[in-house]
Formats: sequence, structure tokens, C-alpha cells
Amino acid sequence: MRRAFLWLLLFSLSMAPSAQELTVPNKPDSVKFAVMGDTGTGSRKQRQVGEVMAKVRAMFPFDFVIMLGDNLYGGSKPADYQKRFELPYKALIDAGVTFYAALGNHDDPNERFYKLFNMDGKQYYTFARQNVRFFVLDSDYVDRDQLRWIEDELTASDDAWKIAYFHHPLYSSGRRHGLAAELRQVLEPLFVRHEVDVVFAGHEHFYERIKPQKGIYYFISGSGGQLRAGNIRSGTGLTAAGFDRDQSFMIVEIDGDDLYFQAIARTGRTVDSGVIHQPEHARLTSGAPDPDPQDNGALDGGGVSGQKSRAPLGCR
Amino acid sequence: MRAISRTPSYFAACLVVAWLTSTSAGHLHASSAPADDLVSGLKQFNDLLDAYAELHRKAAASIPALERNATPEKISTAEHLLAGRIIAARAHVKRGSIFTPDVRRLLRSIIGGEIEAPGGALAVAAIMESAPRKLKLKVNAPYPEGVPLSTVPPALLLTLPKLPDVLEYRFIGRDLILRDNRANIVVDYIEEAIPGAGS
Repeated sequence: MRRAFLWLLLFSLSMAPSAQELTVPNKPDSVKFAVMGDTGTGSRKQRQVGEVMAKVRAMFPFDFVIMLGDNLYGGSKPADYQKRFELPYKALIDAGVTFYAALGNHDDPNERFYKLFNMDGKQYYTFARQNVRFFVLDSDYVDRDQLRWIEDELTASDDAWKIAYFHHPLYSSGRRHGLAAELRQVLEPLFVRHEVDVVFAGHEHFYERIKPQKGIYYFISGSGGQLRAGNIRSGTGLTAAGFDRDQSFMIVEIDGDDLYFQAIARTGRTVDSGVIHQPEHARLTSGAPDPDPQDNGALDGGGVSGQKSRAPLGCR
Repeated sequence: MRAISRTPSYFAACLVVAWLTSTSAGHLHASSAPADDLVSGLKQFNDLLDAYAELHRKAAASIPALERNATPEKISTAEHLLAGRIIAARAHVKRGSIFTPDVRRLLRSIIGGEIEAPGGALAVAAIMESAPRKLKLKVNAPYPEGVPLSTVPPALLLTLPKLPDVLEYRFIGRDLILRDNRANIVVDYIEEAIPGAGS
């Protein structure tokens, strides 16, 4: 009996998913980055996510991380920066990884002056890598100056990929917050008009990939430190894939016309992955490597409505 | 608490705000009698905001400039130094120094009108969901450490008078506060700026 148990234990361990599972192609000259939101708890689980990120980076050498807000919960004293950011990501910081932060509702706006958040003193800003331009917004306070700025920046951009990120999701299946309808009314028309490809947000403490809306791909990655277990509502019709059972983050690789994404749980297990193809915006291939639905909290599967002539090809 | 609805005064307030944001207040020649109070309120508000921005600028100039790639220690020091200078310069200031009765009337009219507008319920829900429930407010007090900031719906921000970039509107429950976003202090506030049910 004991031997059977040991064999079962060894078998389980050997089958346990690890951070070594990369679904992204990991090509030498691609744009590689990680995505994390709602991180700044300073908890053991946040640190564990940081450790997994460092392990993933050993194989997939992303050189920057985008932060989706709520970077520091509970205060912004020097000790908070240390406990809730510098220690959990020490390995990444020491390796020279650059972080680009957006502000969330729990963030002191003065975080924009913090050197490791690379905001250059601005609440909203833009930066580019190769043919990819990132538009970082302060969704907590979208006033006329910010709207004018985003319109001008989107108009001026001729980058192949336009990626916006900020804290509050325009689409969400979350029980707690739901969609930011007010925000969507002002931002979505701009994103559609200027052909933004992908939008990342946090605020909801889980991972969700939204079915494309008006040709735009929306991701929520708000469980880098926080977690609201079981919070994704089924039946919203929005969810292409979701994971609300553990903390998670994402890695993204952009290579020419393809954007590959992979969502990874704190345990190192991949919970979603896929590829978005453009400029034809013709297809999306998606699917997690057979996650356990009970443990995963994954919802709806990969059904993606084809909009802007994008359509799913099937599972990887 | 008087009931606020999307009344002619709301439309007058919006027109006044839109007009003044596209023209110089110095060229103001209002003739519409019902809008006179609102025009006066907005003119007064803009003057008081300008005065605050100047006070802030002088306070900021009197301390070491904060770099755009600062350490947490420098950020914290700069925030406290700045707050100290501003509080000292405004030590005599009481509630209502910027949100004067005329300004309160103007802002309540705008906020009330937005709430009555289609989608207004969503705006209130967004504020109330994100706003801290109740805090004891005090002019010149620091915004409490660790308390999240309320979302301010874009539609409302597009309608409210524009602020200098060192100031922002936020909500604590139904109260509207004017917050210095560099010094992290409450500059002024209006209680029950969002009318409650039955008011």
C-alpha cells in the first residue's frame, strides 16, 4: 500500500506542470515581455510569482515587464516599495529587466517619479520596442488632457502593433467590478478608430482573455499578487479563457505579424496560450495545454468570435 | 439637501464651463440672468484655483526639485516637504475657501446633472464602488495612507471645470474632495456633492 502511494506520489510529481513549458516560439530577435497586474501585496504568493517569472525568464529572456496598476497596496512609504516591489522581483531587477508601470486606484500618483517604474514623472506615457508601441494610460482619471493626448499619440503612431494598457478593464466577467462602462464609452471608439490591436488591464483579480470586441483583443491579468478566487462569472459571453484559482502573470512575444501569449500560474503551470496574427488580423490560434478545469477555473474555452476578419484556427 | 436634477441650471453650468474653457475668463460678458450665478461661481473658482496653483508653485520652488527617476526615499521626502510648506502657507484656511458657496452651487449643479443624464446611474455606481466609504475630512490633512483613490468617471471629468495639473477631483463616499496630487493633501471638500437617495 505504501509502495503504491509512493509510486502515485512520484507519478504525480513527474506530471506536475512546471515553468519549463513554453508555448511561445522564443525567437532570437522578437519583442519579449511579461505582463502582471495587481501585484503589490508584499505577500508570500506575490514573491512566489516573482520567482516563477525569474525561472521563466531564464528560458524566455524578456527584457521588460508591463505593470497594470495597483503596484503598491496599503501605502507608498520607502518600505512599501521594498516589500511590495523590489524584493518580490529582485532577481528580475538585478538582471536588468525594465518595468513600465501604469497606475491603479490603490497607487499614490507620486509613484510616477519612481525610477524603477520608468514613468518619467508622467501619469500616462508611451514607449516603443521595435515595431510595437505601448500606450500606458491612467484609467483612474481620464480627463480631457489625457483623452487629447491619447488621440494625438494614436494618430501619430505608424507602428505595426499598438498595445494599450491601464488598470480598469473595458470588458470583464468579474463578479466584483464588472466592466468599466463609463471608461469604455470614451476609450473604445479611439481604440477602434486607430486600430489598437491588444489591450491589457488588471483591477479584476484573475486572468481572463476576452473574446475579441470590435476587432480588439482584451486581456485581464490582475492576479500577480492579489486573487479573487472563483470570481469569473460564467455565461457573460465574453470569456475566451479564464483562470481564477491562483495567482498568475503572462509572457508575450511579438515576432513580425504574430503576437504569442502565454498565461502562467504561480505554480508554473500554463493556463492559457495562443497567437494573434496580423496585419491581416486574420486568425487567432488559442488554447491551454489541456488544463484541469476543476483546478483551472477556465471558462468557456477558446471560442473567439471573428471580428475585424480575425477568427480562431484551433487549439495548439 | 436640495434635490438636484438636470435642470436649466445644469445646462447653463455646462454652457458656462464649455464657454469659459474655450475663451478667456477675462472676456466674459454674460447677459443671461439665470446663468449669472454660475458664471460668477466659475470665474471665482478659476481665480481661486489659479491662486492655489501659484501657492503650490512657490512652495515647490522652495524645496529640492524631485527628479523624474527618484528613489522612494526622495519621493517621500519631497511629498512631505511640499505638504509642509503648503500647509504652513494655508494654515489659516478653512473649509470653503475654494469651494465657496457659489462654487459649490456650480459643481453640485454639474454633478447632479450628470447623474440625471442617461448613463448617470453607471457613473454613480462607478464612483461609489471605488470611493472609500467615509473618512473624516479636514482641509490641509493628508489623504490617508493606503486608502484607494476613487475613480472619477470620464464623462464627469469632461464636464467639470478643468483644474491645474497639481489638483484633482476625487470622491470620498458622496463627498467631493479637491486633492493636491503632489503634496497628497485635501485642499477643500464638498459634503454630499453626490445627492443621496431621497434628497
